[in-house]
Amino acid sequence: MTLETLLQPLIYGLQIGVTYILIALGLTLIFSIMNVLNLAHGEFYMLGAFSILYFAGIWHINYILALFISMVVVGLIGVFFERLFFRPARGQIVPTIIVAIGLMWILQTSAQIIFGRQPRGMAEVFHGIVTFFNVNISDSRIVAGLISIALVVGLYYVVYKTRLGRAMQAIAQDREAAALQGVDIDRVGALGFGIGCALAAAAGGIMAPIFFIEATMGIEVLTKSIAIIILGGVGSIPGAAIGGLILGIVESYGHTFLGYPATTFPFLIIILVLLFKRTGLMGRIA
Amino acid sequence: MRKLVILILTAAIIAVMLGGGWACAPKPAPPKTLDIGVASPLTGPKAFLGKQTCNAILMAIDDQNAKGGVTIAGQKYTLNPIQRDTKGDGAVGKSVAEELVFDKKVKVIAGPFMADAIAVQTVTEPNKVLAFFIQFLIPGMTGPDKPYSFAVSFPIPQMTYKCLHYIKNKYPQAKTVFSMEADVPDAPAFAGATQASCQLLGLDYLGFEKVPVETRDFMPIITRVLTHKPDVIDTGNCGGVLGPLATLMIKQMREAGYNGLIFIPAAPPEEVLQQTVPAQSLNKVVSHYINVDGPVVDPKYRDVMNRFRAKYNEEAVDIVPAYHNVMTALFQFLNTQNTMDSTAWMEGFAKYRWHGLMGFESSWIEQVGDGINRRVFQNNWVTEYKNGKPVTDYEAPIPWGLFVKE
Repeated sequence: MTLETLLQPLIYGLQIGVTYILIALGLTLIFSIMNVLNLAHGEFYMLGAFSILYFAGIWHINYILALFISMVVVGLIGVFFERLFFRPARGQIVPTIIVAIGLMWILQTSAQIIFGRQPRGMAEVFHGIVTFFNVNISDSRIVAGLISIALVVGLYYVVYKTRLGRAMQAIAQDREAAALQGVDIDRVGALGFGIGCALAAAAGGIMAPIFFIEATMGIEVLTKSIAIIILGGVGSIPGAAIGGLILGIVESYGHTFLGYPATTFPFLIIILVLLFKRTGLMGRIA
Repeated sequence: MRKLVILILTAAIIAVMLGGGWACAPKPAPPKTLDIGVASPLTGPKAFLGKQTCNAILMAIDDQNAKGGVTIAGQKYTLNPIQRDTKGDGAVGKSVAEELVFDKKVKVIAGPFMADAIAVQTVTEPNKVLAFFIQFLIPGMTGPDKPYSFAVSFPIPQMTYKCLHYIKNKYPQAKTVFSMEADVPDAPAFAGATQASCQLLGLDYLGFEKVPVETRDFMPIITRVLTHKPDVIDTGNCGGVLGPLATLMIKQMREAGYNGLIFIPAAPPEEVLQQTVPAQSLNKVVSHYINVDGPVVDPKYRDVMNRFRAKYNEEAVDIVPAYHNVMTALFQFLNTQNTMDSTAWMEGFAKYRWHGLMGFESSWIEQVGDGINRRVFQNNWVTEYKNGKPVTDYEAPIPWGLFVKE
């Protein structure tokens, strides 16, 4: 066992974990504001990945610009679906879940028809490898981590430092009271949903040059997102951040030293948290 | 005067006899049709290879018909393909085989894959129909008890041996080999083939790591593999099983800082490899993929691959020349036959030798190191990627040490 064998999984785990945070934050944001567990969240991640494939990979738009465009496009798609599918079912748990599942299948099947079933790769955007203490990390992964951190910081600023964010927090705390205070529930809810989907799309766009893109890639991501928000505490942004890092690192070490059984870790985490601390590490922001 | 009249009459009689003789001479019989069953998965998960297989067989049939078909026992036959879709499924394959054998009365079926091949064989063997199928690593599908079955696919040990032979010659400092095998039933056989090739070539085989087929991030597995510090990483069956995802494995090996040799016995799709792996990372990668413009490639092989590309607007995988090679040989063999008896065909073709596409005399190998019998050697050419470009300029010898030839 060498130092690099011990450090390499940590580096990869941190990078992957930061990107998991993005996806989980989007999910927890939507849940906080709208009380909707968006089971189609993974499909917006998938849409983000395919968007980057086409914008940057095929049409050769600058990667950062393409990422921004992907976030806007998928965010708007999210707003559209919120208006069309989720708003009529708002406040009703079972219909909302059924709508989310239906939307998940629609998006997945449509993607398989439009983009095909075969996994697709795109050319690397950032070339090169950085080596320190015999541990290697590609420039692509470094940039992915940096963009993820920037977006997490940006979301934190929006939620805690802007009027829109205060409105979102108000709705998350007490919907009726927020409405009485003049907060436009429909508009803020739609914006929150769109931002959540945009974050998922960003995560997909960040991962696209590193991994492969396929129409069914959303399911695995959804499972991990749910595990993260349960671990961190449903509705808690700091909790989602910590949960994402923990899952990323634990998974990375698990896959390196245990192999395939590590794929059960998200499920184990859900079970352990529900057994021992149902509110998660940081609970829900009141 | 009288003598003149007799002479003229005799000449006239002879002329009439000769003319009548021509009129009565038997005309050549019109060509009959010899039906060839082409049963392959045209839909479903194996459709990509199934369609290429079908098209390769159809090309061989068209080529033979362009030469006038086959002549058996003095009778000309135009080859008539009867195509059916097995969907890669056993039940459908059996149903297709039954229709071809019992309704269409074919004596040859070509094209099925793994699950459908097993099912087709249950019909062809007892009914003495020659069957040609892709068959990598299921022992018992060929052998003395399955005489009518012929496996068209590459002997796996040949694939591994030729690449390792190249590496040993071009990179003598490379001594150790470690395999990554997709976790499917044929993984130990692939690893075993690499191990046997290493033994023959005096290389150290360090072991293999299984790669779950659901893997989407290969970094953890690569990190474990690199702890063994191999000079060569063998990607085993990953190219064939994981398909495009195997290219991600290669890319991530370089990302992980591995600068050693990578060898790909089962090549992933070339266009995906070029798209996914940066050119500067596609170096010191040795593959079984063939650049048809390489100097060692047989012109007949190049011709088939180029014609396939022009006709079907897609790159042919190695199963195309494999099938074209065997089917053309079969048709050449049938031209030597004086009987329509399929058992005589089977016994004769099993011993047949021919110069096909592969640059050497081909014949059926009755015993192969991995237990799969009645195979035919494919090409011995090896490609190395240099700055992203595949260069096919090496021909390895046939690894007789891995086979027992009848």
